[in-house]
Amino acid sequence: MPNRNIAPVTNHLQKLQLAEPESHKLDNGIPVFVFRNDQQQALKIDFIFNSGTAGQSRPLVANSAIRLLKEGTKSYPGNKLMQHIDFYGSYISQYASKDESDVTMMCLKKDFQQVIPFIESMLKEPSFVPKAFGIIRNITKEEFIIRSEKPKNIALKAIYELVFGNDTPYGVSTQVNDYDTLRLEDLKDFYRNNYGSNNCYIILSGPIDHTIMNLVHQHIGSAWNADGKPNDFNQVTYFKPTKEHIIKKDALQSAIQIGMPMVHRTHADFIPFQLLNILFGGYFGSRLMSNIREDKGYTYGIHSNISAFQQGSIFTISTETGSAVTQATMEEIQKEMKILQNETISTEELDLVKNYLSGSYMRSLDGVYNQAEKFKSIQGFALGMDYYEKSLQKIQQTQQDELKELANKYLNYDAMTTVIVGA
Amino acid sequence: MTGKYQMKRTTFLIELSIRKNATFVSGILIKYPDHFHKNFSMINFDKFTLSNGLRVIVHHDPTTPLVAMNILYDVGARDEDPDKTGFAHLFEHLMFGGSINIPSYDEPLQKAGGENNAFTNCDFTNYYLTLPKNNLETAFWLESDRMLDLAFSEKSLEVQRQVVIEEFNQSYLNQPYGDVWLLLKPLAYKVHPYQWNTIGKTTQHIAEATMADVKSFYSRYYNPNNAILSLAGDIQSDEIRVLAEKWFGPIASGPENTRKLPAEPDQKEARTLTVHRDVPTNAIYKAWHSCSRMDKNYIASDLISDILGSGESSVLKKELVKKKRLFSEIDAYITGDIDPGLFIISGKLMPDVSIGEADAAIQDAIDTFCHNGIKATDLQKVKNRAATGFEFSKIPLANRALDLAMYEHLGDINLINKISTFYANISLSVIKQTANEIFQSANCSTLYYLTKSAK
Repeated sequence: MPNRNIAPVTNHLQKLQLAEPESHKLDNGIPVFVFRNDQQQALKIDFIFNSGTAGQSRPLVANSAIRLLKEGTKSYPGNKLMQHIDFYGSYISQYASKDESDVTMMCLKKDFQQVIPFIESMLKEPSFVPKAFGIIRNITKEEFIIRSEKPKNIALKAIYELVFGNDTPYGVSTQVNDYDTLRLEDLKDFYRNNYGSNNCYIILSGPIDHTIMNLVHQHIGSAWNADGKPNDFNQVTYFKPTKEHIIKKDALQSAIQIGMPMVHRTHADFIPFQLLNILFGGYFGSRLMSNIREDKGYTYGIHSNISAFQQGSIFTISTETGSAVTQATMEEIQKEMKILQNETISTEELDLVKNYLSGSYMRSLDGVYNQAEKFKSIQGFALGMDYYEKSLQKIQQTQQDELKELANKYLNYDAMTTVIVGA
Repeated sequence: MTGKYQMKRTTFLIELSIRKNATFVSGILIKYPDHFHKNFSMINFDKFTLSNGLRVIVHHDPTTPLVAMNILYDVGARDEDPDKTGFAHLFEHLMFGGSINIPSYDEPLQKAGGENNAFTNCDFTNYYLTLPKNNLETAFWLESDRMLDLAFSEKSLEVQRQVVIEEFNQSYLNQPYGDVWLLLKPLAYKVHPYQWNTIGKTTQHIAEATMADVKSFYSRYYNPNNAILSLAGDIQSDEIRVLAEKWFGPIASGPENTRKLPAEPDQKEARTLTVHRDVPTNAIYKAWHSCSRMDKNYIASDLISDILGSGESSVLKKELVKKKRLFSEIDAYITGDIDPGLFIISGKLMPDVSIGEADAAIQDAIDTFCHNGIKATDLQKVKNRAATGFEFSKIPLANRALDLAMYEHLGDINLINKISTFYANISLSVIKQTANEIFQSANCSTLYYLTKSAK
């Protein structure tokens, strides 16, 4: 029997770097970044437009516009486009987030030649037919109504409204009657101004060779909507902490969100605060999980998170707890903040979290699809290719005192807004 | 999937897995055309068995600095006592409460830069982790110690009972439509243990679990001869053999477990259940008994579910959502269980559509399908979609380790490299015949899940 009381030696992570993608430029000026792996058949192409929901004139415009792209085009009217795309076994998804909109297509390498003309048509000549618009509007309205009943979603929507301000680009949320007043003209406008070759870059990942590149040049290389004026916006956050209780009669659980604005991703505190966040509520072994789940059994899960957007970040703590222990949970969350403000973190715990985070960076950079995702997340912030390497270095250098300072600066319960959805 | 801690988007296992059943499929042996290889990537593997019965599978991928380790224990919710349901899953939580020589499972793994999770389904329980390759031995140390013996702490049992009850509340009771499966499974199954869900029949069963239950479950099922260990990464079979012998080799085998589960008798009469809940829209769930995972018709049934409900151009989405506008969403899928599973069609109704009209429209679409069959291009389409799905699901390292363990568990690990071909070879006539076998009206259980005010 080996000696099981002694743990095998653990090694620290060596250097880590995001692989530099090959970069190209199409004739219309679109930058193309390639993360190449010839061993696989599965290929992915991402079109990222630098406009998202924050730039829309009213709720729903960006997501409705991007969704409508595949509901018929000049060359492939009605269901034809999706029939073809489905036939070649390719999967397409479109989504507008706050700062950008993505159209992603996944297919096998052998089918790329067949599929790329459909993508071209979808981007360059969507029909925006009133009938299709009506159908999609009604369907998405129903989906919205169903989604809106989930306690977690109610809490999440409230925290974004309260932290960013419900009349600001990042804080405004969709109301059900926004579906009824949505106009097709707004969608067309948004498409013409934002989803053009002047406001876009491409990431290709997988088995990308000359043939594939040539097809991209051939089908995507000419300009479209090139005179569009991408929507601009200005996020001004006026934050005042409040306590909100949304009553759900007879609920078995309370959905809780606690949040506040957080510093921008380029701020000097951002990276070290990420380390503090992991330790506090960002992984399975975090202070919040260890206490509130693993010691008290109040919840299935509790975690804290930083979401960084181009014009502002938000820090949130989220959980769903038994109704009877809602107040006890809130008290434990406050206690955990106080402990980080007043007591020095042990060297062992700090080492553990640093190692965990290194491993986590390694996982998030494994394989071309993960690399492409990470690349996308730095592109929008104009951060350099060495961002991950540098942040990992910064994390390794961060000391106990600095984390205590950060806890005093940012983890103040009274400076946060709380939302409880429950009985 | 019910498990240690399932959070949307962070469970790396399901990332990129665009095909609902990509990792849960199997089939029978059919001829294997050579030209197929060039469009599908093969998963290499090596397999050996320790003298205590532990099966070990090694997949070599020189391109990654990480190693994925997967341990599948051949015990699931179907092995539970009908009066003590939810136990296999509760037990999975207890596997993280410390083992005989190691007080905490998670801490040393996190210190080694690792991440882990687990899930339980009705057929088996699965534990998986990834960590940097240079800390591989930590994974062997941790996983072998909890196979050797657990710490069995009262505190851990007490806390995890609570955690699992909160999981039950969060996923099944405190969500709109959350209790659908708690209603549908006992409607469809009257005899077979699939009649209860992995989470259990009620929170009461979880609250009543005792330490004696925990210990006897552990000694019966958590043994090397009841487990499959698979690894993927820049690793060689030889080095894994040495580590496996060192850490798992000394663990004694346990009893042989032969399953004698009662077979579900043929359903002779259509069943209907109507419930009213505080939900925004009416919904319908229809379940037909289908075949087992290793049945000759399994792949055909999976493809039928794709023809009906996968992708925007699928029969039900095109006809009932876009054209007739009766549903805001509709899906068709198979449960993919090892014993005979269910074929499900579920949908949420548009306002002002009656449940009777919605049900009739589904029935109508099925009747047309059974009578006319489908066009060759529609079959080719779902085959193409399946092929893409398989290729994408192979990309995450952890998926490859899991798939290898699952195919071994099914009884034929070689299926991992044959399965795409089997999908490609299904004929139109098999599709039509299988559809006619499944969609007998007496074979169907229907749940009308209605709003409080609906009639």
